[in-house]
Amino acid sequence: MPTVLEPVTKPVLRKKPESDDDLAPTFYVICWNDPVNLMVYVTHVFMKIFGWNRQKAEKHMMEVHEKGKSVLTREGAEKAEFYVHQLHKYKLQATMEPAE
Amino acid sequence: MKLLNQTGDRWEYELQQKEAEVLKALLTNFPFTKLLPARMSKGNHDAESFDRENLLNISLTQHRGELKKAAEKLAKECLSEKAGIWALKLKPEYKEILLQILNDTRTGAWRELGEPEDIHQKPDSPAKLQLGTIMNLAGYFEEHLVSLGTKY
Repeated sequence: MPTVLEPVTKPVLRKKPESDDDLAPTFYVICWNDPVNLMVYVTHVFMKIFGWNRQKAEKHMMEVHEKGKSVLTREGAEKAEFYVHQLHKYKLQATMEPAE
Repeated sequence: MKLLNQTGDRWEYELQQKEAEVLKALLTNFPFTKLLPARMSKGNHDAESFDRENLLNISLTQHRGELKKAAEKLAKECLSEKAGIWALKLKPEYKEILLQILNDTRTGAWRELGEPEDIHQKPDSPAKLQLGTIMNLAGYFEEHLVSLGTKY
């Protein structure tokens, strides 16, 4: 007689946080479009601040230009704040928004 | 404006006399506009975000003071004339500072113009004509500095 296969419900295991940092809120660093910042300049700034290659920097620059904004990175509060400060020093419109 | 030399970590540009005069004027008269407050977040208005925004604006005010000092130094030390030929000699850190000064000037003029979507619109007053000219001149140098001699 064939055995009847019953559905097995596996318990959902939660990953134990390794440190308090794992519970800390994270933020999206977003760059917003404006008509005044030159495209070559924005690409240059992304490369300088994030150390990206030209291809990646241009991809984000085009996203800002075409979609109105680009999420540049997701970081903890301190690092997100640091990046926003750096971007503002170059006069790019950047904000940090809580990540869900 | 053209790139003459890029040796090691230095850039040397040759400028026409008019370009040199304009760049010098942009540097010695910096800043042209008042510093307007910056936003840290578009949607987050809690106390922590308010504190962060305060810190950002304090930091940007200090930074502008540093840029003003650097602008004076750049005009004196990096821009030179020899036998009628103007040269702009920059180390990497000065190049970034110069770009920040120029874009502060450009975006500051744009904000004072009322943040127009069309940045090429005809000015309807002498004051706007002046701001528009400043914005375009700063952009001219920015574009050349980024495009000429930047290794990617």
